[in-house]
Parts: sequence; structure tokens; C-alpha cells
Amino acid sequence: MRSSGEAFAKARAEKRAAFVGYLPAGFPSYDGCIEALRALVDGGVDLIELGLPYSDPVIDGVTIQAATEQALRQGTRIADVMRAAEAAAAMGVPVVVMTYWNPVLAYGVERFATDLAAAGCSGLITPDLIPDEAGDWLEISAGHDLDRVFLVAPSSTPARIASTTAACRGWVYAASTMGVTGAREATSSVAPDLVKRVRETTQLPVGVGLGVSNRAQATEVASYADGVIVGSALVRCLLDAADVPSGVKAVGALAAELAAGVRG
Amino acid sequence: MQDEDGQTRESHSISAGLDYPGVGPEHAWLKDTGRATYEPVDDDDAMEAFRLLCRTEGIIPAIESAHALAGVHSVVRKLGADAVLLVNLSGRGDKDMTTAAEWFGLV
Amino acid sequence: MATTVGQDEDRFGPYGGRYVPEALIAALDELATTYRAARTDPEFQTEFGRLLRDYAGRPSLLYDATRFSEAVGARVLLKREDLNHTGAHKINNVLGQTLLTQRMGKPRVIAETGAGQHGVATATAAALFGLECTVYMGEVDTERQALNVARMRLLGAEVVAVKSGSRTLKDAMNEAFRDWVTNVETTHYVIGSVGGPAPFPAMVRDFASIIGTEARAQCQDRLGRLPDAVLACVGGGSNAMGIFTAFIPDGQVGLYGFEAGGEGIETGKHAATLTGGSPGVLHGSRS
Repeated sequence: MRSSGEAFAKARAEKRAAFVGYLPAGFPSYDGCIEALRALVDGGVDLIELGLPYSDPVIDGVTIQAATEQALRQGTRIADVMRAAEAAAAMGVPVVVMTYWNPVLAYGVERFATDLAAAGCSGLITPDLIPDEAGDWLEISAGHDLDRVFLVAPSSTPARIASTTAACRGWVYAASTMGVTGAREATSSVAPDLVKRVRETTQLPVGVGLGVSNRAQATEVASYADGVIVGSALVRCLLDAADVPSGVKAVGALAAELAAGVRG
Repeated sequence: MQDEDGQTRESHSISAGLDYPGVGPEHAWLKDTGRATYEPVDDDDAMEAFRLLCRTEGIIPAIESAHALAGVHSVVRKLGADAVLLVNLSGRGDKDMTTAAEWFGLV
Repeated sequence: MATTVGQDEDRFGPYGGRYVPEALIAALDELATTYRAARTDPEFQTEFGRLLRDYAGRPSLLYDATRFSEAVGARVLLKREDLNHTGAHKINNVLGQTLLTQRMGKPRVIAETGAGQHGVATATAAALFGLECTVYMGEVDTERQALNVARMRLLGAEVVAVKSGSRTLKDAMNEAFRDWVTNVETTHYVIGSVGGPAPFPAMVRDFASIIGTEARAQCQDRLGRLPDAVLACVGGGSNAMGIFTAFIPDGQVGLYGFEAGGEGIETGKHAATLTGGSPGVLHGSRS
């Protein structure tokens, strides 16, 4: 299994930021998702963030909601997400799964961790789980050698940033704005300060997400962060496409553009 | 209420105010400790209690509250006729006129 | 101040807690701090009491339903929360939270609503306090409860029909959380039930507990003793916690909650979470 820190280390060695790309499993179909992930890797993504579709995605904006609702309507199960994760992990870059906490609880935290590790995944990003509630996960993830990526936000106090980054393993996810996922015209002005505050507490790499959609924004974020996380803009390629092949092609093109962006 | 993958299941009730797939954590705790007892009341029984309060007391309850009124039968069976029961009549039924009119065929 | 997670008032055995994005933790901490201060502040309590009395119309009556009692075969007393201003118990909690909103200096409130009663109560209190108000309501419910939509708009609230998911209460709550995480600096989310992340479950219970406190005293006056059982309906469960809480220490008083069995538990078409559900995390807390 690859650690997600590997993606950041590789980018750092090349004196650039890592490009982290999000796509939800099972969208636009199981096979379509695999093809899109392949296009992402071919386009130059350093780390795949594979989304587990959930019925109540409170931190996702309309784009990702539309995609994950479709994936669920089509019958995407946790077993399918694990299968997609395994396929992605075989593509040559590390994979982390992004999931709300209730599906993990329902599946069983130990069972989820076991299957995740068996699929060759590096770990989990947990947007609605704060370390204060993560007792089981802290222990079980350590037992399976899995990364734990918790989020920090512009509203986080210094004390909370410190306690959150102390609980992270692999890297830290900095939410650049107060709000839900979705492409924005302007990148956040508070993000550089947040990254600075995170670095005061940890040696771990810091990825910045929420709002990045094009090459220029990727370059801007790459100038102060260790990783640039892009989700909605990639999903939008698949949502807006007339068919799956053209959507996959658009994902590949945007991935190449963003990969160039993190290289300045 | 959820499936085995933790996806929230849709709830169903004639009462919009009770039509929610979650419940407050303290109720889950009161149930586990045995301090409170929870039972389901189906749409038919709730609407029968709704009508009974209208006809016997001239009070039109919210359909939500009618679930508690319907629960009286079950508690009386447990505690007997000498028991004194306090029911929270949580709201009035004006908002439920359309539902009630359809249910009882009044319009 | 540090997060209050782990403190007793945030947990009920294994249930409760805060399953929310980190971005909301600062606001939850601020709310918990403001609430804790208000709880012991005589000025707040006086103001809350005055509003409940002069505006909501409390205390609500305890009514001996004699003809209903005859029909069901036991003496039934009704706690008349239907006689409150806006027609339901919801106003108790909303007035409490609106006072806290004012204390936190936030100019805007948001709420989710199913049938519309909590939305109407929030829009009412927002009008009373001069706050901006947005209410999220599932599109299905805006159609089922068109009059309540008009009522909220008349009171000055913006009503947003939520088109995602099943387009009902749970999706309205998702959308309210999305608004809150985006506008948390200026906005308080008035959660309408005893769910959600801490401190909401304990705070909403406390604001609603006036129901049971009054009823218990009224029973003592009327009967010279306590009732044998207290009954309430349970959706999210705020009216039930409201009337149960004062009686919890009275072990001889049975507490009974009735959930929506819909078309029957066996059909799967119901909302009886405690009877037919399993523990999980939804909308910020574990239950």
C-alpha cells in the first residue's frame, strides 16, 4: 500500500505542489468512474480522492450532490466503492477515500479499515468527523497503517488547529473558505493565512481545497500550499458532457491543465 | 433509519412533523436505560384518535399530537382504568385540515 | 474556549456528540458558551419568562378531557400546547434561541421545517426581533403545506424550496446546514428539535422543558399527586423531551413516546426510528 504522504513527497522533490483530484465512485457509472480515474491519472494527478456517495452530503455543493445522488440511484454500494478504490490503487498513484462518517459506522469501523487496506488505499478523508469524536478511528487506522485526514477551517481556533493536525496522519486538509464544495470564481484570501497557521503546528503537508477549478487558480494555491485539491470542476466535466467518453476526455484535459498549474 | 450501508432511508408518515428518519439522542438513551418506552402508532390509529378528540372535546389536535392520543389505549391496557394519564397536546390541527378532509372524505 | 465535546451535557450515554464539519465547531462553541452564561443569568431568565408569558401566552392550560376520558376508559389530562401563540409548542424553543441570537449579535436566523410549524415559529420570532430569516423546506412539503409557506412569507421570511434528495424535512435540514457553514459568522441556525450537534439537544430540551415543569405543578394542584403516565408523540422528539424532563426523577411516573408507525412497521413505510431503526449519525449527532 502507498501512503498518501508519498504523493506530497514526490511533488516536494520536484519543487512543486501536489495535484489531488476528487471523483465520486459509481459516477457516471461504475465503469465510467474507472475510466475517468484513469484519465485523471494519465492527466498527471498525484493523489486520487475517491468519494463515497452518501444520502445526506451536508458539506457538498450542488455539483457533487448531483453526481453522488446519481451514483446512489444507480445502486452504488460500499462494496462497489471498495472495488473502484482497488482498481484506482492499481493505476500507480496513492488513493484516499473521502467519506461522511455514518456509512463507516454502519459498515463497521474495523471492517471498513480492513477492506480499505486490502484494496490498497492509503486512508480516509472524513469531512464530518472531528478528532474529538474519532476515538475508534484513531485506534483502528493506526492498526491498519491508514492515513487519517481531518479538516481544518478558517474559523478553527489555534488550539483546534493544533489538536486536529496532531490527530492527522499523512497530510492535513485545509478548507480554504467557509462553505460547501463547488467551483468559485476567485480563490480564497483567507487560505494562505490558514496554511500558515497549520504549518505552525505540524510538519505534515497541507492540501487546500474548496473552490479551485482552473490552471491559474491551481498555480496560485500551489504557491503557498503543499497540495491543490480539485473536485467539483472535475465532476462538472462529467455532468456537462453529452456522453461518458466525452466526459472522460474532458476530465483528462482538465487534469492535464491542473497538473501544469501546480508546476507553476 | 438507515440501510446496511448507512444510507438514510426515507421515512413515511401522514404527519409531516413526525416524518423524519432520525431522533434526538436523549430519547435513544432514555430507551436504552428503560426510563421511557417507545411504541409506534400507525396512520389509521392516529387519525381515529384525531377524530375522537374532535368529537368528544371540540378540540382539533395536530396529527402529530393525535399519535400521543392514540397511544392512550396502549397505556390504559398496561396500567388499568384507574391510571391518570397526562398527554402533551403539542399543537393544533388547523394546518392539517387538507389531510384530514381527504382522509375522512369530507370535501 | 475549548470545544465542549466530552462534557456531560453533550452526551447521553453513547449518543449525542458533534458529527459536523470543523468549520462549524467555533460557532457551536460560541453558542454553548452563550447558552451556559444565559442559563444562570437572571436577566436572561426574566426576559425569556416575560416573552413566554406575554407573547406566547404561557402558562398553557391543563385540561381534564372528561368525554375523551370516558371514551378511552381512563382519566386523561391534556397539556394544551396548542393554545400557544402560533399554535404549537415550537414557540418555546424558538423564543429561547432567538434571545441567544440577539446576545451573540447575529442579524440573521435560518431554520428547517417539515410541516411548517417550526418555520412559522422562527419567522414569527424573527419578525418580533427584527432579524433576517430564511426557512428551508422540502419542495414536497411546500406543496403539502402551501398555507404555511404563505404565512412565513407574510411574516417577512424567505422560504427556500429544497429540491435535493427526497425533497422533505431531512433534505431541508441538509440545506440549512450548508447555509450555516457558509454564513456562520452572521447567522444562527435555529434547530427545531432535540437533535443536531451539541449543544442543541440539551439546549432545545431546556427551552422546551417549561411544558413539563408547568404540567407537573398543575397536576400536583389539580390531583394532589403526579400522573401515572406521561404521553407524547416523538418525531425528532422536542415536545416529548419538553414534557418528560420534569418527570424523569419521578420513577413512579411512566414515560411513553409514540412514534409515527405510518402504514405499519412491517411495511417499511414508517418513521418509527426507535422501534424500527438502528443507531447511527444523522445531522450532527449520534442516536
